[in-house]
Amino acid sequence: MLSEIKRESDDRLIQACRTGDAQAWDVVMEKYERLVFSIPLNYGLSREDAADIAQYTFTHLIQSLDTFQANSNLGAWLATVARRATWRALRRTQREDTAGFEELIDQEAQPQVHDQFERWAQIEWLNTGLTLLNERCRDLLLALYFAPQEPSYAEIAARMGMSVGSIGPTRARCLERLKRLLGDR
Amino acid sequence: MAKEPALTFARLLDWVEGRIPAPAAEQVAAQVAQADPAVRAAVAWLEAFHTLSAQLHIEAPPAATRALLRRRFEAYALQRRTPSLLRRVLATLSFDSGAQALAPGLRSAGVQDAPRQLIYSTELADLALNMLPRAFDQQIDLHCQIFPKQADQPMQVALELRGEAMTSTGVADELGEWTFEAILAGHYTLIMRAGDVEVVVESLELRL
Repeated sequence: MLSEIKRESDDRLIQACRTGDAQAWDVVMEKYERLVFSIPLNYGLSREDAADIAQYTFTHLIQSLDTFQANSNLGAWLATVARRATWRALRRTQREDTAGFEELIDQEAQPQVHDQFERWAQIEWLNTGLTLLNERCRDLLLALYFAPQEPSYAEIAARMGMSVGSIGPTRARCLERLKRLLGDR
Repeated sequence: MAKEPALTFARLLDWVEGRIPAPAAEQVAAQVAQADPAVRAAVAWLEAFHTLSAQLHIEAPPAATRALLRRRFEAYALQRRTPSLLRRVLATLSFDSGAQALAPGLRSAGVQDAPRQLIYSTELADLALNMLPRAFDQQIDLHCQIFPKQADQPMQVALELRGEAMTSTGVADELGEWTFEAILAGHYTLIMRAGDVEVVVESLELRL
């Protein structure tokens, strides 16, 4: 049932959330929490700051449910809110670090910002594919390729109840599935 | 001559990730160079993915964050269920620590640094509000605790703090507690809903 709901369009999920459907809300969280949390992490913020930004972003969504426009791209909307909150957090950090200086550096003018813009778009793209994978493939690929701790095959096998020898072949199948879901771009 | 292993996706992945030892890896490289466009496209995709995965971290937030957001959604959902008859009760202020006169000597004891506490009473419950200063900014955490008069009566209480420029919502936990975080000083209305009852604290001044 949950897998069917996950494939529901975001419009239908928003409509269900408006009626107070907690299961629909859980699906929204499952689809987009990684995206929203990972944007500030990849800008170099701490996990605590990233959690605050995730709270802020999804709370803003709750407060906007009644006015959220049909056919809007929910993922892009959430990513934009998270990104702006991240920039505000970075500016606050910069002010604290440069206390005593009059001039604030405008983040938007820095050439690195274009790389960062590309980065969050990449996270959103990957998250779309990862969300559509089954849970086992998603957990395996996240552990193998995106976890900052870089767990070993043995650690992953223990956590996921797999044999170490099966991780290699399973990762290939899961990655091939991800490639099909994402297309060749 | 031994037949070369087929260029399956799994073999290409192992090759891109450097998991195939040298002589066999060179063999794969030669095969890829001669392979059809679909194989070369798969290699390009894998190489791009490999580069991307080295640059990005993707992970889920802590479970506590998800739980907190779930509760905020539940508060929103509670408000959506409009009861047929809503009984509105205004809470009365019965204690304000900020209005207590300080006895001589208490200033040096740091009493003025204690969080400001307000207690409101209704026929259904008492409400304790503590205004806690935040360490790094001028904002306030407002900690709320509800004490039902009938202690054995479980209830789900949704809270809403309404100010001029913001509204924040939450659901009290099993101890009847909830904290509104990072609130600016000012005047607010606090509304608590449980079942068909709405308890309102009007003209709530948040200040340290």
